[in-house]
Amino acid sequence: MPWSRLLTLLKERPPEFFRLRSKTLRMASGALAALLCLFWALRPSPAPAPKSELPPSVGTENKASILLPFKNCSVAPHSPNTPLELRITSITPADKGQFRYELLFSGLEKGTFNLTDYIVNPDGERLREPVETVTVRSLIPPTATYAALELDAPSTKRPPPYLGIVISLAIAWSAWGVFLFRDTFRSLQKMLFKAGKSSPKGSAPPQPPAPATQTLADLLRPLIEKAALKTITAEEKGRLEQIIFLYWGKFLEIDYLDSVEQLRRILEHPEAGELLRTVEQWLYQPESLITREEITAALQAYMDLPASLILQHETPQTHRAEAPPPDDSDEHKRQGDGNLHTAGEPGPRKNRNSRSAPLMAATK
Amino acid sequence: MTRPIILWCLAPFVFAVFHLALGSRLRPAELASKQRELAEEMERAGRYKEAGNAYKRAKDTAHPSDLSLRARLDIDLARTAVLSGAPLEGAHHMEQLVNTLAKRRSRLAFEEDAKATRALGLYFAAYALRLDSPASEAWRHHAEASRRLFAELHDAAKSQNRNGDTFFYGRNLEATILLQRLRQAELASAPTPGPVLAALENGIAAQTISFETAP
Repeated sequence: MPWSRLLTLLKERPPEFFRLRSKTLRMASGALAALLCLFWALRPSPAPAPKSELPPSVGTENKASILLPFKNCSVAPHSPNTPLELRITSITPADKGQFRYELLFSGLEKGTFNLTDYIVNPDGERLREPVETVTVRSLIPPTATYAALELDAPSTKRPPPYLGIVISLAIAWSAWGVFLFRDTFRSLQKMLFKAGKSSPKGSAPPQPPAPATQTLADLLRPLIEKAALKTITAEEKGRLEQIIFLYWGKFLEIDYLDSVEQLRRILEHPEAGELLRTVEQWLYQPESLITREEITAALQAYMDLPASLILQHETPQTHRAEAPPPDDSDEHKRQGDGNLHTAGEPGPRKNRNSRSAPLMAATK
Repeated sequence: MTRPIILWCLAPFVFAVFHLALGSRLRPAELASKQRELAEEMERAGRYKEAGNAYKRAKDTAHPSDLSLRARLDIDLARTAVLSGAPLEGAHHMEQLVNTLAKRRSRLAFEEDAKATRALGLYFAAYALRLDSPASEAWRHHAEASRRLFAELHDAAKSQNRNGDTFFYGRNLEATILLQRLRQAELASAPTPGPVLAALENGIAAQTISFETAP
């Protein structure tokens, strides 16, 4: 509770803490207090409600009270020209043998009237006395053209704009929904972005996942056969090299190196470089005739290796042309932690091979 | 996180309940309000018949269950009827409205306006009838009813310290008494109010008969 905290604080603090230390501060606070007192004293007092002292207007019913020495007085008979209507509401005994008459009167004309002129004694004679006058005023100004006032059209109080409220609520509700599901929207956006990126306009459709029985040899065979027939295109050659890089880069744990260095090491390796060397040899022997057995022998090392070894890392590989240019500073950083990964372990270094094919082409 | 999502899902249902309970009236009320504003402009310009038609359109636009707005528009219609020369028709409608409100026990704020409109209608009707057929005593009934209503409204306004209304009802009460007490020649020589002239043009005596025979 803040109050209990405040009380504790007050108890802990010495009283001197609250004293005004500076003389100027004391004077300023005194002046402020004096000003407040002055304002309070001079504040405008609320105007007393104006007491209605105006005489009654024509037609309105008003009360009056008179003392008469008779008990059985009554109202004088009305005629069409009688300017005052009078009613006796009660008669009660008063002091000195008199009676209090409570009256209700209503002036039908403006003017001053004696109430006892309109009261008769038991004999039917108008009393005339005691004189008890009332004044009735007119509300119609003498200069008024018409006596009655017409009703004006009241100004319409507009209802709240319901359509606007509905639209505002719908927008607010949608915004609330976007806020609540922002994470879902983000992941959906990422998914859509990835899907859009993986099938850019004019590119080949994504490769179907390799069946479980497919081997690396199956992937390489059509390329190797084309190389044997010398009909392999530059693109297919790049694909062949890419498969070799993906597999051997990981196997030899050299995928953290740049592409030129990887190529050099693969070509130097007796087993890894064998296929590439063979292909190069075939390509540079235009008159040679390559048999199917030779092709099978060249692919022998890849017969038992599942294609999934490289296909799972291939997605970024196929779009290397879209990949951003390498950053040398990042290269060194990644090389630094490259040894933490084992040969078969997919890690962040697997994408390093994305630059192998063009670089290889450059070395040739 | 689950609670806000539940609230978010429930929000449309809450709105649907609001719409069915109250909101469905608000849109027609909004449209009726625009038509009513146009009608008021016409009324201020003295085009009472056109204003009456516009008020009628606004009433047709209002939601059938929006009794408050429909009653308000009924008063507007009656007022334009009174001003356009059909004072008895306006007064009759207001009598019906007041009776309806009394049956429903819904003492609404505009009941006073209904009574005031009725009182004024009766006043103009009495005025026109007296000018139209001096020999007939038909006008006295309407004048007396108007006087009683104005007196009642005056006393109510005075007890609530509503000075403007007290003055308005007091003056009209005095005007009604003056109408009752003036001699025929004096009344004929005084300037005739516009609604009375319109009522005379429309044949106020015929209106009296039709309303007296009405169930």
